[in-house]
Parts: sequence; structure tokens; C-alpha cells
Amino acid sequence: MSVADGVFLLSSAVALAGALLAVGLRNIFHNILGFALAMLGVAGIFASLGSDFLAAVFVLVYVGAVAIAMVYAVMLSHPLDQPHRPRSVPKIAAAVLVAAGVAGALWNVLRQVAWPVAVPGADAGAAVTGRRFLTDYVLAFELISVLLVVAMMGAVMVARRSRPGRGTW
Amino acid sequence: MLGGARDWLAGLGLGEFGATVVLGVALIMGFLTFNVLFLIWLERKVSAHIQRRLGPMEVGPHGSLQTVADMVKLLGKQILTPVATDKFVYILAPVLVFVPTLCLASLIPISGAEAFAELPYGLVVLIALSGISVLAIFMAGWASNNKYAVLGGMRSVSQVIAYEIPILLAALSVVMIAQSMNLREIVMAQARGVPFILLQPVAGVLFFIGITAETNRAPFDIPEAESELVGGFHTEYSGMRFAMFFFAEYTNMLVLGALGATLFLGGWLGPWLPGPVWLLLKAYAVVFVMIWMRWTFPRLRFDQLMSFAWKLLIPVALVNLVITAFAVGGGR
Repeated sequence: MSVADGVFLLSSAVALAGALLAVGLRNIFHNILGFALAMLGVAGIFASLGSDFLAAVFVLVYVGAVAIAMVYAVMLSHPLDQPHRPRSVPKIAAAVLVAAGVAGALWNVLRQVAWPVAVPGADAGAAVTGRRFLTDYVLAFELISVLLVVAMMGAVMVARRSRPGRGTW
Repeated sequence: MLGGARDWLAGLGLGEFGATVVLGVALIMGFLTFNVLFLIWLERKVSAHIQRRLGPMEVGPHGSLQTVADMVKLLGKQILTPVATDKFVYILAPVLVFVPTLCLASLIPISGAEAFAELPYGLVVLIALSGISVLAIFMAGWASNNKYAVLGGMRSVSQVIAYEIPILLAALSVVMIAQSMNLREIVMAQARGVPFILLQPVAGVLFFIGITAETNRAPFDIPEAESELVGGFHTEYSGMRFAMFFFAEYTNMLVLGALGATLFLGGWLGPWLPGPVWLLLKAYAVVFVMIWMRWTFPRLRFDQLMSFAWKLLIPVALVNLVITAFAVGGGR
């Protein structure tokens, strides 16, 4: 087993463990820490496959997102010093149903793809990624930008409406 | 000498790779510990002279062993864990705050031939890892279960999120000129021309303001503002756990100072002296200016801090980036 294989197995284990912690624990703060662990694991998988740029960007984006998610979790969640509310069975059933549907769809895709799709030794660096974004995948790239702008405008509108008496910036 | 030490370690059954890792970690940790002791002493001396005092004078010549005595005191202190804390997160936070900084230190190229670890996208990895310490700071604040600590943690998150953007944009304009994200390549590009501070003065200033905020230094020290929040996110920590936060802050100052020196001041380049010495001289010059600022400017109010980042720094950084893009693109 080479070092890369070892890193891959370790990262996968970390990602899975983090994901289990993220859904299994009862304390929302611990859930988010589990999520951060899972994201680090996924970044490790990218690194073991040779896309260190993607791994770095993954950490950059998701750890920042995790920190923000934590702030929201603390502000919005049920106070932790009070007893936990029991889990509701219909909600669990619905979650299992949706998760099973997504897993089924992914499994279907996995079976249809001829592995391995990646060309060994292919350059997955910043230059190639950037060129792809502005040529082959320019539509997806621009759509995501539009989506982010719309989300931001929506956030501004929601924040403004809840503050009467402050009509101007 | 280093080669000899590595061979000796490899002979102990660690192998070539293991020996390099052990030696690298030992060297970096040893140097960083010395650096923290030195920087805390420097901070107290500089602040004292700015305020027309002498500062520590008793332990060692000009108080130079004062921080060693302080460290021994902190080592001997009882480590308290308040009852209402979230134990696991509370204990994990001071450890986690230090790990990214250690990784960062290994990524900076210290001379033309040497860096402990070199990556093609070193700059991105460095900035990504430096974001992890804010996670640790928020963990510390939240797990302490203390209102001042939570406020400090919240402030830290919003501050670092805001100031990371100008840092990234400023670094990006350097990347555009150097045409590389590899830190060694960036320095080599400066060896062919001039230090980038001359080509990118605006980016240099933005980067400096950004790293001052990123290290929670005054005038951006609202996460631990003593007069408002007792001690901010580390209010409930004592003994060596508290010292770990201190350790991380001063190490971060040096590492980000060294990153600034690498990006804007030509890194290890310089006449007569060897490369690592030049890099350290430049890094400590940046750190000295940070200390100087702390004892000169009053602390910003929270809303002033946020609007300073979002309404001034980020637009200026964006305009600077666009101008750089046109200049670089037009020059081809």
C-alpha cells in the first residue's frame, strides 16, 4: 500500500466519521464540528487524488462556511442547557426516505459510469480548472454567480424589511 | 550539520522521510517557542518605551529573561476547567488553535533552496489553513459557556471573515504579477524585478491591515477587548491552556509577517547575509510595525471595524485588482 493509498483510506475514514458525528450527535455545536471534520476528510481525498488546489479551496471555502454556520447555530438553536426535545418519528421517516432516494440515484449513476474516468497524471491544477470554468463550463459558472447574487439580494431585502424606520442606507 | 542530524535520526529506524519530518517539526517548534518568548518581551519593551517607561528590567539584562520566568509561572499554574463548560470542545480548542499555525510556518520558503514543505499552490493552502484558527477561537468562546467569551468568539468570526477578503484580493494582485501561486516562484519573480511593494503599494497596505486584523491585534483586537469583554474568548482559560492562545497569537504574527515579507518585500532576497536571516529581519520588521500600531492607535468600535472592511478595504482591493489585471494583461 502506497502513501497515497494510506492518505486516501484515512481521509475517507475521517470523512465518514465526521458525517456520522454531524447527523448523530444531539448538540448542534458538535454536529457542526462533525461537519467540519467531514469536510477536512473530503479535502484529504482530493489531495490524495492529486488535486491539491481543489483541496486547498475546499478547506478555504468550507471552513469559512462552517464558522458562519456555527454563529447561526448558536443564535437560532434550542438553548442547550434545557433538556433535549425528543426526536419526532415522522421527521426521521421523511429524512430516511429522502436520503434513500438520493443514495439510490447516486448508486444508479455510479453503476453506469465506466471507472476510472480520470486520466492518470492529468493536470487538475488551478490553470486547467480556471480555463475549464471559462470555456467548457462557462454556463454553469455564470449560473452559480447569478444564484449567489440573487441569494445576496434576497438576504439584503429580508434584513431591510425587518428594520422599519431605516429606509435609507 | 542538519544533514548529519537527519542521518543520525534515520539510523534510529525512522527512515529518510520520518527523519525529515521529525527534524522539521523539532526545528520549527524550537524556533517558534524562542520566537514567542522574544516577541512578548519585545512587545513589553516597545510599549514601555512608547509610554516613556522602561518595561521589565529585573530578570536578566534589560529584562530579557522576564518571559522565561513568566512561562515557568504559567507552567506551574493549576489548569482550571469550569463546571459548566462543554469539556471536549473546551480542551480541544487551545490545541486546535495552534496546529494550523505550525503548518503555516512549514510552508514559507526560508531560502533559495529550502522550505520545510513546498506546494505548487502554497499561497492558497496558507490562506486556507489560517482560516482554521478562527474555528478554534469560536470553539473556545462557545465552549466556555460565558457570555463574554461567546461575544468574543462571535466578534472574532465576523472580523476574520471580513478581513480575509482584502488579504486574498491583495495576495491575488501579487499572484497576477508573479504569474504563480508558488511562494518560491513569487520571490523569484521579485529577484528578476523589484520587490512587489513598489509595484503594489496599495495591495501591500491592504495586506498589512488584513493580517493585523487576522491576528486580533489592536486596533482590531475587539474579540478580546479587555475593557469591554474581560478577556474575550479566552476569559475562562488558565495556566498553559491560556498560554496556548498567547503562543498562537504571537506565532501567527511572525508567520503572517513572514508571508507579507515573502509577498511584498522580496522574501529571503538580500545582499551579504544568508537567506533565512534576511527573511527573519523582514518578518520582524513587519511585526515591529504591528506592535508599534497597537500602542499608537485606539481600538476601533465594532461597527466602525466592520464598515472599514466592507465599505473601504474591499472596494479598494477590488479596484486595485482590476487595475492590476489590465496592467498585466495589457503588458503582454
